[in-house]
Amino acid sequence: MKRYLIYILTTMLIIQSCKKSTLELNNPNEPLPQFALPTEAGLKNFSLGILQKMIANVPDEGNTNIFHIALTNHSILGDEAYCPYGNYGLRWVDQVYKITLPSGQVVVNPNTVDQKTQLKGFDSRDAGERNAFQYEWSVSYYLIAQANRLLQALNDPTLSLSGDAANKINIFKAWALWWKGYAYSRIGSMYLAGVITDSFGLVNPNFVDHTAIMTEADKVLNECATTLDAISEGDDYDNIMTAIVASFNNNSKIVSPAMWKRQIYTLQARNLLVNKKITDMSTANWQQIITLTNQGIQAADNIFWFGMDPSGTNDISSGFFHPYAFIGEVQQFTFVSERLVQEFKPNDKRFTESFVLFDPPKVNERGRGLQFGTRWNPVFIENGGRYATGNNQGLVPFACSFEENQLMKAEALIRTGSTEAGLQIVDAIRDRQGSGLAHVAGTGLNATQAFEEYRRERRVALFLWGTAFYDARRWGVTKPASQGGGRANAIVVIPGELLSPQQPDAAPVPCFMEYNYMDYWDVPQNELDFNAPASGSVPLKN
Amino acid sequence: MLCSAYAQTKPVTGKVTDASGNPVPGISVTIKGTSSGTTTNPDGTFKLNVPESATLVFSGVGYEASEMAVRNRTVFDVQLTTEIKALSEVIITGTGVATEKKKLSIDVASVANKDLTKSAFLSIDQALIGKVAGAQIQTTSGEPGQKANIILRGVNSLGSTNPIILVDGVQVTDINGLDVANVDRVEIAKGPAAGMLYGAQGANGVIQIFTKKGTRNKPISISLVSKVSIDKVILGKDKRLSAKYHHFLMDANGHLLNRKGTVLQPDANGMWPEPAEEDFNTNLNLKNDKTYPADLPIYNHLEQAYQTAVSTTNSIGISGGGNKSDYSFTLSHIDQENVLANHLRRNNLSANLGFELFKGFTARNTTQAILQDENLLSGTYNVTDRIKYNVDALFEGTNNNRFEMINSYPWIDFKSTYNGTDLIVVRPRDENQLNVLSEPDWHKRYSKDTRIINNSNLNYKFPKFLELDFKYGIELWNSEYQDLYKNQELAPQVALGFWGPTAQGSVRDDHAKSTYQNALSTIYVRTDFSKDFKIDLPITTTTQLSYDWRKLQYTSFFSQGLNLPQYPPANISSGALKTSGDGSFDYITYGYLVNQTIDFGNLFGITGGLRSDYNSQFGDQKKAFTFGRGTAYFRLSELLKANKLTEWKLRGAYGAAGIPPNEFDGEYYSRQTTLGSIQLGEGVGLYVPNILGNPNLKVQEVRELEVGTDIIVTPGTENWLNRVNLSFTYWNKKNKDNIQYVDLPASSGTQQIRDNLIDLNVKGADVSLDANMYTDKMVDWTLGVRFGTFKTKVLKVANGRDFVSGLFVVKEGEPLGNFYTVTPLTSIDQTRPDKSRYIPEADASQYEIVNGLVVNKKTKRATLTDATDQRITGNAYPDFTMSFINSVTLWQRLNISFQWDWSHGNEIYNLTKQWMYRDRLQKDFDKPITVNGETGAFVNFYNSLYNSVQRTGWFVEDGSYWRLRDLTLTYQLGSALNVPWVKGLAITASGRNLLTITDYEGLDPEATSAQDSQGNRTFGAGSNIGADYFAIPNLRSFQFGINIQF
Repeated sequence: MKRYLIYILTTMLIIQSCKKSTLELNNPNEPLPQFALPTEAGLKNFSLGILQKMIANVPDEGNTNIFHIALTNHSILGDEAYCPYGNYGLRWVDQVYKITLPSGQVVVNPNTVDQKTQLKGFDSRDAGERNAFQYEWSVSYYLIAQANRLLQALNDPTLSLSGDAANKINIFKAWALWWKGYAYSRIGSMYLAGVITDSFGLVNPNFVDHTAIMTEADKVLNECATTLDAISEGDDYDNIMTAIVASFNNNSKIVSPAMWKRQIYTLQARNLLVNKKITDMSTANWQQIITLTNQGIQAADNIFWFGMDPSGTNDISSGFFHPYAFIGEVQQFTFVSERLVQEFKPNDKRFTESFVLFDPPKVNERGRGLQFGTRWNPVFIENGGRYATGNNQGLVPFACSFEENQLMKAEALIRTGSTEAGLQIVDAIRDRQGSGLAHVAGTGLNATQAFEEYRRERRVALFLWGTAFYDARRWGVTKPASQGGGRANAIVVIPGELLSPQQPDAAPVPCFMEYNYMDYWDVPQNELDFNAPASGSVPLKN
Repeated sequence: MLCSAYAQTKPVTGKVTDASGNPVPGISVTIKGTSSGTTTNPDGTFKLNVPESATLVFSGVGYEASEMAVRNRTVFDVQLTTEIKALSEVIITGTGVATEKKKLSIDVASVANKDLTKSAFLSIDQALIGKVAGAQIQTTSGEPGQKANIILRGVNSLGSTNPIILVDGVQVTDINGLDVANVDRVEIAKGPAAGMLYGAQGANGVIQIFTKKGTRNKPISISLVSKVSIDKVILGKDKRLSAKYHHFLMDANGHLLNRKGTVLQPDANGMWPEPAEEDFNTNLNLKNDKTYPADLPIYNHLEQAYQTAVSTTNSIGISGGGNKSDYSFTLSHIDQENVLANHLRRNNLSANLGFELFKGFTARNTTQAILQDENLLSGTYNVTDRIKYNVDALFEGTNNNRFEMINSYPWIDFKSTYNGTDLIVVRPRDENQLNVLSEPDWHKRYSKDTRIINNSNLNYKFPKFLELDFKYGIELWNSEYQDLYKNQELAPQVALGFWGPTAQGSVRDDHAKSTYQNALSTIYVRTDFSKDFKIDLPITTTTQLSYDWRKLQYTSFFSQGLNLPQYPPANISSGALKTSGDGSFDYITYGYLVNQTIDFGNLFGITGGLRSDYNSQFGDQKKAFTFGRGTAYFRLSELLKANKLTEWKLRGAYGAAGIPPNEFDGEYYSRQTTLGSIQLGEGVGLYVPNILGNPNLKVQEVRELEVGTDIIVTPGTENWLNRVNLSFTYWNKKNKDNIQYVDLPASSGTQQIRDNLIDLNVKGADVSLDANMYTDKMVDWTLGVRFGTFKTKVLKVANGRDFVSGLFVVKEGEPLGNFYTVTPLTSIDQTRPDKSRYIPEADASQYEIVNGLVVNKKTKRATLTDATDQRITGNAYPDFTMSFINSVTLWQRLNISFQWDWSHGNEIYNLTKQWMYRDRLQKDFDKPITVNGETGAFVNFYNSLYNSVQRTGWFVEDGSYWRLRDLTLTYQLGSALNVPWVKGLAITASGRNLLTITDYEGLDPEATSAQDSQGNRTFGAGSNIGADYFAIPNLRSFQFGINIQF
């Protein structure tokens, strides 16, 4: 007996040895690229997954949809909305420099410096999430990276696709090129400079200025259009498109290759329009806009949308990273600007159905600046409004809309003397959006009046759709007052004690607002810390 | 043999006392030459049947053994003398060679059960606070079940500082949840020089728990312990963080106004609009000096947030032993309440059984079953600890704090209910925060943990030379969690806020299962030159050869039903939309250990060895990583033979150990770059991950050199200072190849990559002092002092670039834990790094220095340095920590013990205060300052320092504190009860955290952790501790207990 026990013990000591092969453990939870990407299912999932590149881990904020932060920056820069909160640096992005009250009293923002000084002060990794420069930059390059990786996978010799493989490859290729072209469009339209990168994971230190980035965007978009020409529509196309467009982004309305191409033309028109000051637009430029918009999105076209999942899960909004949720009364991260509200014409149904009064109004929120105030609370889409949701409703265009296409055309027409044709478009858009407003075409407006009708309509029709800052910049509103910038008769809700005479309640009064914003933003230091520019590079900072 | 002896036995009784006449319990009374006998009762008495021819042997730890022949005596009064050489205490290292303390050349702390803090009954880590020099153990929250932050000898890496936890020699995954009541002894090996014996990953040190064993030949002994604890959170000096005064607009009648100029009041649903605040941007002299109107009720939100909780613990211990076996059973039940009247309940059932199967062959099996359930709404930390995949985003954020209550207007009543209901208002303030006190109306959750730890040990000692030992431990752990958010569609404020992912409600179940196995085979070869080889040298040797294998397997899955009906039942099946997910990992490491010990009598000895291990977590898994060690001691006292110097030992040790990559961020398989996977609507999206894997990841390595000395002197008289024991250790660690997240430029397409790119140097000293201060028949006073200090320096970081770890930046050449912040200007001509002045010379006259800060005379505002001009304003780690443990026994019956803990020289980043500056509600706003000759509590001054929760030097505070950790009174009723079957009875009254002496202005200087400014928990040594973000303060407890021995 004893002997056996000792044998057992000795045996246990000996047999307890291991093979090295037991250590070769592969991650059982996530696919290795070499297994997933050579398959059609893998390509579909990877194409759908480009949406995830809009999410990044932001220091202090956790997983954040930084694409949405970029959209919000455009809205608050364009003063269609405002955000009084410091998260993601938002409150300093719309740091209006000075507001002149009707009494002549000039109120400088509480930080006492202009937006450029403020934002540049945060342009470091130390500043973490407050560095506003980083979001649109990062999200655009993350999109480009995933697109480059997808293009690389399409050239993989191990790729195995059934049926009309070439057609399938072209569909995925068009998808990658579309997002890549879109991302370059955003970089070139927002930053002083950028880099062009065609390989995932490589760092390119050759910074080029934003016009060169726009040239690259144009090139990639043209390549996308060419690829679309080669695609044949059919079950394969529908099947792939339904898989790579997320269900919460309305994948049931399939964007056909032709519709897709028309989005490209509209985006190219936008790229041209928003990167020139209105005073610098030549007749030829306007003509180009007309040409592109004539080929652009049509009224019945399906486009690529950014939406939310009705259950509030499994989407990229994480519950509030969507323009319509962010502005809603639940999150109250952004608020509608009085300067947008004043663009609505009286009795515009889009206004009367979409806004009610806050009781009491928001005034000089948290003491952070007079621009941070509004009387208007957006009505949820689920309750009949248009611009806000408490329950995951509503879609905004990722890129351009039919409205934007038409309004660009209208601006070009008005600018080139075809005032009536332009106003007809304004009326058509108002009708399309159910404004209930009387038509202005044929009412004898002169060019200036027509442009004002158009300008107000563009602000209203494209509210929260990503064009507000581009417009404010090219129309000269965000320039320093000394250079003719600013906005007169801008409605600001002023606390009663600042009114003359003083009164107990706050009141909306017309003021002069000097925004004094940068035109193009600095290349964020987060990039430059790890990608030192090659010598001879272009200016990267204001 | 026993039978024949039994025939001639007679009963004897006796009492064992110590030198000062105190009864000594637990003394073994045996018949010489046999193993039969008994042990003394709590009052020192014993009863035994003995043969007249026998000799009784009285022995016990800490006393010189004494023998007495029985002959015709029936009553024995034995006085034992204190064993001067309490050094024969054996440090039983779990893996290494059991060694007498005097022959130990490494610093291993041993804390016996009786020395554990009596008032900490929930967890072993809490009971160890202050007991071990060089162990910084910090309870960062008063939340039930919350883990302590354990740092042994400084910070070794940027990831986890958690030491290896061993129970009876085999590794378990978590110290939390283990029963305090069945702990016999805890041994703490603080650094890799000792730790590597217990695992190649022993760089963070080792905490070894030895559970209570029975005693052979001892009749059954039963003890019952019952305690109740009344807990309240520590609320600081004046129990408030908010200002008493205000600067809101008021009407002529003194009522606060809203922005319409009408009296401020809540809407029909109880939601308050924002008040009209006087505009400090234009009224530069605005002061925070108005009193709130008498008819406006004001609430102390801290007191609303935190209520008194009552907790109980009961345990029963049964132990004893037969001729060839011993047994010990412990059953404990804990019910701890939290401030929301939810509970954490835990049952621990332990059994420790030992058998001698035949001479030299022993088998032992210890089992601990842990059943824990809790329904803490804020118990999400527990979820994130156990659930490693598909963690509900709701649990990752600020769920477990009272942010929204504490950072709010004082007139808001967080307990107000909707008219005509008993439902608490969900959104009493008009912002995107919900009232945490309304959560119980809509959210129910629970977790259930079933954890079984079983260790088996077979050991055979050959008559000579050889010993074989086999240990196998398995830890099975099942966790289940459920979160139920009720359908809230009909709730009054549903459009403005609801609990959970959707207003229609959801129910989510998470399950996790893990199995941890640890097998350890050891062969010892022992020689004694004089006995075995007849060589006349007092040399003994031990050779140890061990093979160690460990495997962790983990799986989790969840399923969720969303959009619940408004009628019961609310389960996943009834949800209109269902989601689910899973995840798993395996982790394997194995290797061998060779260790050689050579002792020359009691004079000196050396050890040396190496450990070579494979690990599934790094590299190509084909190469082992190998670490060496070597130690030596020399006992000068053997040579000196000085009268009052009982012991003087010099010792030194070198060792290296590793930290595997997963200890950096808890991620496994980080050597692989896989595609991320995410559910997107009805499809699954794949994506290139934001953090790249790295196939070249290596183990993080710590090399430690420690030198020290142990001295025992008997300087005093018979009563005073008859024994002083001092132990000093200096240690120096070089930590190579620490893993960090290295930022990548966004244009590369990803955010970060993990790489071994940081080197640290950590050095420090640990000192322990134990003294018998005074001893006589009436009084016995002992004092223990523990001291630990360390400094960490960052020798190298990747690319020489700073990186952000937690709240703060880490820079090359600087200590870890530094707070880099912008700072208010302190001189008017202060310049930026580029030498440009902050305040142009021309404007200098507009500024003056107020309380050390540059303040604009007109605006009353301070000026902060640029975000790109940050400087060190503090460090999260203390200069030293110290504890003073006193124990005084009076009249041999009443024991008073108390422990003071002292943490000195650390700073706290008071993020709570900064957030409260946001709405200008923090109590600082009441403090007047004098600017330009005018005195007042200027709103602009304080508001200018708020800086939107950017790190600002203004909010760095001295975090030093003295804390009366424990005060316990124990009264031994002894056998005074006169109930024959009760052998002992003691009652205790104790207090925990009764008193805190600190300049810190927050609630609790100990309740700090690594939090970012939005309350997300972060890891990272830069801020492992040090931020105060609305944490639940520690508890001040009053406890009453009774302890009965049968």
